[in-house]
Amino acid sequence: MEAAAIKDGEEALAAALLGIDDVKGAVVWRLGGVPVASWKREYASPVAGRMLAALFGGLEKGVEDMGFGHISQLWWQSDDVQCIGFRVGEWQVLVLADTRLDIAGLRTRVAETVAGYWDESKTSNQEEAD
Amino acid sequence: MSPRELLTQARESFDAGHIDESSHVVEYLLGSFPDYYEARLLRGLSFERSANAAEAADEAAFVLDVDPANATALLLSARLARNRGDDEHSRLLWLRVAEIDPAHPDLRSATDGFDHSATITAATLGYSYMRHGWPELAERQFGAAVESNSGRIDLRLGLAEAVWSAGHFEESRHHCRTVLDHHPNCLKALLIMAHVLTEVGRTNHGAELLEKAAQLDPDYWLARQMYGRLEFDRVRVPGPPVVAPPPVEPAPEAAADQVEEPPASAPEKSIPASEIETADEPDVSSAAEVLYPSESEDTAIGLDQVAPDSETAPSSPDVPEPVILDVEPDADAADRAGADDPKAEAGPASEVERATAHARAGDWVRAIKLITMYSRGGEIEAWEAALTEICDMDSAPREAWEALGDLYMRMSRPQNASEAYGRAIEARSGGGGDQGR
Repeated sequence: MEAAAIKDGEEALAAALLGIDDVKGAVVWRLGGVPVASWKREYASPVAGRMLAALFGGLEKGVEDMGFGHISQLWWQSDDVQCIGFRVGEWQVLVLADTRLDIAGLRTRVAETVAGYWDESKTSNQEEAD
Repeated sequence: MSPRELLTQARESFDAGHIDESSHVVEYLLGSFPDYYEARLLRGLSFERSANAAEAADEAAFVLDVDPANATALLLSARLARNRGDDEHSRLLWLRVAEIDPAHPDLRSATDGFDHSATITAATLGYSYMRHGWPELAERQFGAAVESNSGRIDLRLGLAEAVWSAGHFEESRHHCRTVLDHHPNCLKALLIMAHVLTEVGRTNHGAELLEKAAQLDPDYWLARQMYGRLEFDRVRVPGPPVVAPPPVEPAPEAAADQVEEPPASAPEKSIPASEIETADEPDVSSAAEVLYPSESEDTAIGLDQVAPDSETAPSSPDVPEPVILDVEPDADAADRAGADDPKAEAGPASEVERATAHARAGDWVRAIKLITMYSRGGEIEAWEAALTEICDMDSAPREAWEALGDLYMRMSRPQNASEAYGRAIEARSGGGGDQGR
């Protein structure tokens, strides 16, 4: 039951992030969990979301091992997309968006969506507990 | 059960503080696999708990001969050195662990506040790069570390593995030969040599080395881990042997009742482990009953290869000979176990075993059905071993690689996960009757 709720939560958050304008895809996972991805259009591989999550995790572990602390935010840009990554507690989020999008605005909207989901999630969990 | 599953059971008992129970399983396991180094390590830790320092030191030395970079064995040696007042040696061993595995859970408590994070050396970086799958960078660091400390065999082994992982097989062979000159039982060096020799066509010599490795690691667990990371390899790794569960340890009063009884004789034929009477020494039970997959009859571990060595044999001369049964975990057996009906969980084989059996038989549709339904559940170690073996097969489909990647993500091993997902992208689906890439 708990596992199902967590899974739904990841899928709901990924879908909410995909609702942001010009966002092409979102990947959400918890530490020690399997990533869930949501895409606006078909990408070359269905494994893409999980692959991105694993690459992010590898970078994060490497940085930690070198004693540089924990990555809380990450941004990269390629020819086609830009990607912003967040860590909120045990939750990790990656959002891929069009390169035309202003990074500061995207970051704010992603942070708001995650924060809103976080509050909703806590409220509904509390209601279920009551 | 595989030897590794039994070992996990013993380790869990040990961690829960049930030392007698753990020792019972370990001795049972060592009855059949006297050089199983991970079981020897657990026995060493038990000896330490029972204040038997000399025996514990012997076991730690054995393990470090097999695996010179084994952090748990190094920490055990460090604690033993400190207890006998050799603080300098103890400190050197702690520093070595800090280089090999700075996140080891026992390191901080063992060093009592000693700040090992301040000492980042070439070896630290070499081990770190290897953990994260950057062998080319690791090679550079290990090379520098070996130059400044040529006596450290673990560094030479690290260099050999880095060079091998980067695909420079001949150079790696040279380093492995140096390691094996000093540590002929070094498991990783044996496995690298087995692979390199097989790749250059010396398959018989490679198989001999693999057989020697099986004495130290009967599940071929490390072999699967190492070979599974290669793009391709020609080494045929046999399936793990199947071991009957250990006989139930008699209750203290039952054991007392048996004191006057004549000792039980060794079984002549296959007898279920639960029916094997325990002798009057409850801690040293019968040897494990071993079943080998007959599909790999030509390459399976023979008992002569795991026969107790006079120097390393366990202390029980009364251990009966293990019994080999001709039982094959083939696809038909998996069917009988109810692989078609995912709900038939009460079958004689677990989902892990059934999935593996189907994959070995090339029936990917049924293997994938089991993998996708069950590999996200418990039994993480068992699934890791099974999926590593399955993905090592030439025709492993995309779904198997994806499941392996997911498993690594759950184990917080993202670098391994990205490699598995990368292979998934390259592989073809096997779920729709597509038999291979």
